[in-house]
Amino acid sequence: MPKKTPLFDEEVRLGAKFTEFAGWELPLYYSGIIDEHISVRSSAGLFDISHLGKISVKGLGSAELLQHLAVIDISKISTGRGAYTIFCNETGGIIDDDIIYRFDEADYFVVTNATRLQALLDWLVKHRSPGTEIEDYTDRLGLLALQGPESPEILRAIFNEDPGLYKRYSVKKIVVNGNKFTVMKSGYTGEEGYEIIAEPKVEKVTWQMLLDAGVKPVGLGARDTLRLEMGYPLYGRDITIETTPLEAGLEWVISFEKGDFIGREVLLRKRDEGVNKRLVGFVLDWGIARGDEQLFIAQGKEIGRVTSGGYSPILKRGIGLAYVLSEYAQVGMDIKIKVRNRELTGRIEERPFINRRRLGYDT
Amino acid sequence: MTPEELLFYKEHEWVRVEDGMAVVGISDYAQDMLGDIVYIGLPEVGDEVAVGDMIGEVESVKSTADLYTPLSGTITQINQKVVDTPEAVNEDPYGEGWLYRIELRDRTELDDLMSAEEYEEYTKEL
Repeated sequence: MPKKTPLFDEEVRLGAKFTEFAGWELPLYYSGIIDEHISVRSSAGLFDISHLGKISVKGLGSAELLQHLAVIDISKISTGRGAYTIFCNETGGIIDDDIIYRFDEADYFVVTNATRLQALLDWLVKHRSPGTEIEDYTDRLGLLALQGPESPEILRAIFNEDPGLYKRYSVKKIVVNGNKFTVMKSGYTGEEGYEIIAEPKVEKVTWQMLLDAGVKPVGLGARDTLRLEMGYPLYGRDITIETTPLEAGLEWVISFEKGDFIGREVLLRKRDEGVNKRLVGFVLDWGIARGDEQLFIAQGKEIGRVTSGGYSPILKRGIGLAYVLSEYAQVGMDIKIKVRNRELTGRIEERPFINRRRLGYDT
Repeated sequence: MTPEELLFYKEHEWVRVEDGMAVVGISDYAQDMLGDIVYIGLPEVGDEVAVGDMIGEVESVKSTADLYTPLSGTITQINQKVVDTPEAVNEDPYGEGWLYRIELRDRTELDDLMSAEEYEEYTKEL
């Protein structure tokens, strides 16, 4: 039986269509993926992402542990802030990509991919030193995402105060009417937005307040089209234990200067030698490639494979991510993708796929 | 409600017989299962098809469905409107959202299709 989030009954009542993901029964969509996608880009949308992994790393050795495992410089995260990071194994393979928040001096909180919670927990526990507490709060805390250009004013209205979270990945614990919230300025949509952690009872009340404020509920379907339009990689598809941050175009995340960390040696060597494949974005003229299809250029030469694909409601085109041989990883390169019995045409494009300023979505 | 004059194929296509021709589309159940339809691939006018052939596809944001022909014959017309605006199939699957016309080769194939009532029963069991 798949697990259910604290909001499952509410979602049934709203008429959601469900899907199973990472062992959870989650809403795929309510009104429709395109409608929900457009709501997030133009006003706001509300996601139940309680399935994401939530790990607390506390104690004297916490900073040292994270510094040893993560590719970023943990010492640069000040209290009340967070950062996007990657954990690699000894060969540079990606164990998970996560956001690490720092609540206090020796009090960190890691939000993980639902599919990678156990793998990351095991990795942290394996390397823990005495005096470092690692605790999994995934099933005990709910997580909501409020995303879209109107989310700051909506949040101010329901909390009756300005949480003052202006910078990306800033975090604050707030208490409203005796209810405790951890509010983070973050998201996976490319829009302004927040992620809100609360105990299940409080999460339910907050969910209802946000719906009453007119925010549309949004399912996993639009969560995927929104992230894809931004060109964000998804663990399990675009990044895996077999890929390194260098091939995935995530070199900017790595701090080679911070000193040793697990995977550094291999990553450094790969950086200097160069990688033979790279993650690129593509846009199609017609049709959708949904993943696993091969990419070709003229004369049927095979140059790579699709890892993520879908439909962009803003571009009204099929878009996706693919690994291609580095020599072909050039924006503007014409490509063909064989999908069932058709040969779809398109080209390699820059990411993000949508230019938010041009579309009038920038605030 | 399902229009009573229609016949249905097990792969969720509907058929409306008009003289020696049949109009084909996909059912309301099928469009609802697919959600937002964004691309439709149809056969070409003049194509000879046989019952059960996979002759195209319907792409929604979340999934791809194969399109099968419930009848054998020659494709005589395709609905350009659904090619240009695929959402017409979501909005009006039994009307504006029809897909193609086919000249029947063997009228006895119609006997193998389900009535509207039988189709409703069939979808309840899925």
